[in-house]
Amino acid sequence: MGKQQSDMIRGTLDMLVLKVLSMDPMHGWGICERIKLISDDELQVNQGSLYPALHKLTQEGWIRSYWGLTENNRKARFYRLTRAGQKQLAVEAAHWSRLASAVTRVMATS
Amino acid sequence: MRFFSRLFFRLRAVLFPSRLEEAMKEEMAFHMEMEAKKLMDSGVPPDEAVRKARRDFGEPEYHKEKARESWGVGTVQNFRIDARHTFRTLRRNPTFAFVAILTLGLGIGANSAIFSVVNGILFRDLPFNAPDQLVSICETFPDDPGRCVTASPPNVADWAERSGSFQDIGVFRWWGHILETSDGAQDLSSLLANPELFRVMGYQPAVGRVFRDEDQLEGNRYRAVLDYDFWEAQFGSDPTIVGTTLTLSGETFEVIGVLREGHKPPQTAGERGADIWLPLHIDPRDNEYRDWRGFYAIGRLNPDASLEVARQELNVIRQGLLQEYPEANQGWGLQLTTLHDRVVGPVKNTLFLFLGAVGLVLLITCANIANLILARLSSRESEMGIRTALGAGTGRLTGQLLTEGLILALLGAGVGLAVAWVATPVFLSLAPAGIPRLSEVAVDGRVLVFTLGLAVLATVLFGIAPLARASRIRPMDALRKTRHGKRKGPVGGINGALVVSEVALALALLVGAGLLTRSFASFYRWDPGIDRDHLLVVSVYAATSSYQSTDAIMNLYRTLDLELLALPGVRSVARTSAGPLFGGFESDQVLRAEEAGQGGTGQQARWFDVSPSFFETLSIPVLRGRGLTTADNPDAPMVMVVNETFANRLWPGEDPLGQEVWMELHDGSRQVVGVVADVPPFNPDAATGAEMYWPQAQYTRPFSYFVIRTETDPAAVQLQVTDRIHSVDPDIQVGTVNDYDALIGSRLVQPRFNMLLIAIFSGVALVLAGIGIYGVVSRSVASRTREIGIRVALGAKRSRVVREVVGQSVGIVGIGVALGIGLALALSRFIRGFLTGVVATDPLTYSSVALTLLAVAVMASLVPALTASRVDPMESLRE
Repeated sequence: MGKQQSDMIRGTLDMLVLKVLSMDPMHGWGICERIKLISDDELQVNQGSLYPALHKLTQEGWIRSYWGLTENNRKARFYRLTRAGQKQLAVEAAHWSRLASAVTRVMATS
Repeated sequence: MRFFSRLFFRLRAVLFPSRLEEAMKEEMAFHMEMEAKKLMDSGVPPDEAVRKARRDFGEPEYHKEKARESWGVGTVQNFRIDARHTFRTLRRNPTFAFVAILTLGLGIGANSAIFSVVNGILFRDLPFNAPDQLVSICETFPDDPGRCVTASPPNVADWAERSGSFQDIGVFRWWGHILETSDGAQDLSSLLANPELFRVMGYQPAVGRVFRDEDQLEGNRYRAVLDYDFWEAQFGSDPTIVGTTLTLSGETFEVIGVLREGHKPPQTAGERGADIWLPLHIDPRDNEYRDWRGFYAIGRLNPDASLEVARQELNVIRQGLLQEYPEANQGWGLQLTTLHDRVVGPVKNTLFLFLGAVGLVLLITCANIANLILARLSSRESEMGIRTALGAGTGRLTGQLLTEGLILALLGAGVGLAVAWVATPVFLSLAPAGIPRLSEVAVDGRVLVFTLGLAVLATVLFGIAPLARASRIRPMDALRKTRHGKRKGPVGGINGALVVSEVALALALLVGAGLLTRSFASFYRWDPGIDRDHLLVVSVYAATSSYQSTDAIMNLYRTLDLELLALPGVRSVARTSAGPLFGGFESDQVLRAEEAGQGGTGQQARWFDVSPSFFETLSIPVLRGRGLTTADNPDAPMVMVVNETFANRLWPGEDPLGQEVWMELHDGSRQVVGVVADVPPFNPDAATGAEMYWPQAQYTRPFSYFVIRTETDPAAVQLQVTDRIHSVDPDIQVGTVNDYDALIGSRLVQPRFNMLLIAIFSGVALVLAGIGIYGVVSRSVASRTREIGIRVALGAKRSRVVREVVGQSVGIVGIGVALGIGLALALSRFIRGFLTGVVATDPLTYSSVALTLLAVAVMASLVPALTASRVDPMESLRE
């Protein structure tokens, strides 16, 4: 675990959570795993701080929680994206790509 | 949508916090379990896996707290926890709790009590239908547009007819009638009113009917409507009274109805009721009465009309009436105010003075509570430090302090409401007569809201200083610090600032009280230039048909003189149409007779018709010439006696004796035969006016005051006067027999009440400031025990320690005094209107108040200073 990858870019966690949930409803641990998996371990979610973020998103009405069963028939709290959440994801994704390309352009100048 | 989703979430969190908590706990446990399982699957030993999973997750409580914050209901949740914590700490510190809640209770209670009075008088609607449509209209004096008198009925009738803003304009005035019953005569307070007034005020009958337009017509005027309370008291609420007749002052009136309960006259002239309502005794359209401005006028605006438009409209109409009736209307102005303002106007400033004073007391209270909390805070610094170290953010500490403050303030408000409940009736019973709407004062919902508002305000006020202190607490310092740790003495910094502001506020209040006291004293010491001891005054009105001629009236007066003189203990008796503190104000324009008719306006002079014994009985010295004698009868030359001011104004440097004076209103002249000393008016600030006295024998009216000088206790004579007059003729109307000293006393009631109330407030302020100083100084001393001990051990004199502690406190208080003087000067313009005989910047008041506060500072710091000087060096070092 190098130092470079340990910190999440501030404010992107919400967007990543929304993105992951847009594929499938998932529980908290699963969300962490999925982010790690997709980013090839480049992005490490600070596990505990995921939960305050989930609560915040729920409160905004972007995701909704429900009790469900895992593949191993274990009871767990699942989160799914709401329609408002889909819209928000689109907004944040667009914002992110603008930001990312801007940063890339700046870094590419020699 | 987002709003609703948030609201829903928050509601759930508030209503079922345990469910959310439970879910959160469960999913975090699930998370760690899954993580551990994953690690185990990758070959990590089980206990190592569990440990690592925990470590990676972080402190669950920390994340929970973060999540709670994100709920937004963390506030509510935290409030519960903080509230519980507060109640626990309050129970552990009963003295602190008792002192804080009681102080706050008194501070808030005094405010609530005064507010309930202000609310009942100033803020509540008048008890009439659509009260904001009611407008009081009055005409203003030609030479004084600010001074409002009443209006003349013919003018009012024309305003009503020509204006489009008013539905109706009613007129009324008080009168006195004598009700003749089989049990004898009885004084009634009667009210003359036109039928319009009943429509304007919305008066309804309980029985029968109220006046209609036809009742005002000639020949229909002998009709009466009874007041509800009078009907109940006098006739036992007998409904058959309608249709019967009553004999009022010798004339027969038919009772046509009874007003509903609570339908009372508008209080344009203080709280005053009417027993019986009669139509106007004059034709309101008769031009003969156009210059008779003796009636209150109240109009009801159309629903869509505004006061401003009505004002402009009436002023145009007034210009027209001036053209049509120049003699009656020349120079007279017009004033329109809402009825509400007219009724409460005279007491508005007094009430705001009280409210301001009591508000200052609350500020001082808050400063004191802030001091108390600070004192507790410094002993709780380690608690705060530990909480900070455990992860409580500044927000949480702030929240906790605010919660504690709010709970204190709410408990204080509870005590305050109880105080207001008790204090308001006491205030009402002590309040001087003449304050309008006192009967409407009550502790109501608005007072409740006000009190809660004060509690919140107080929380913020006394919360600021402790919050500022708490936010500076650093956990490591707080934990390291032992009781003897290096600490700045609390005198200075926030505590010092609190003491300074307390002293400044208390000083401003004390200055107010001092000024009012000095003003009261100048009233009390008022020297009218007449001997006011053993003096009785009574009005006599010979209104019956037996006294139509001048001779008949004079004969009656002479008989009454002799009868009263014959009462045991009476030294002399005199008659007069008026005098200082009693009687009306009748004046005329006077000129030197040789200048009459040359277009000059002359001087204003007050006139009195008096009996020859008047000057002697009131002990007014005759300075030149002679007084009046019995020889000054209708057949003798017309004469008068003038006061010094009169003589100096008309004949400066000349001999007034033998001069002729022309009087515009009386349309005649009189010769000056004597000059008497000035009798100053009952107002230390007012100058004496020009006055003239002439014999009643030459100017006879069926109305006069009798002034009786007694040799013995006037109280014994007082009881016999009315009977003795009635023994001559039972039909004579006799007013209340007043002791002159009591008359003066009644004038002093209002200034005394103002003075006492403000004095009580400032006394409270002084005590609070004293407590504040004591608290701060003794804590300062306590924190310096070790230092003082070392110094004493090194040979410092104990007297020096005392001097230093006291000097420090006096220094701080000195700053407060300086600021307070500035504050008092800034506020002085609000109190100026209440002062007579003293200026609002009176140096004596300011300096004595400043000295008082410094003395309090010395006394309050003396005890801690002596304690400090007795510090045992060995003890303090060992500790």
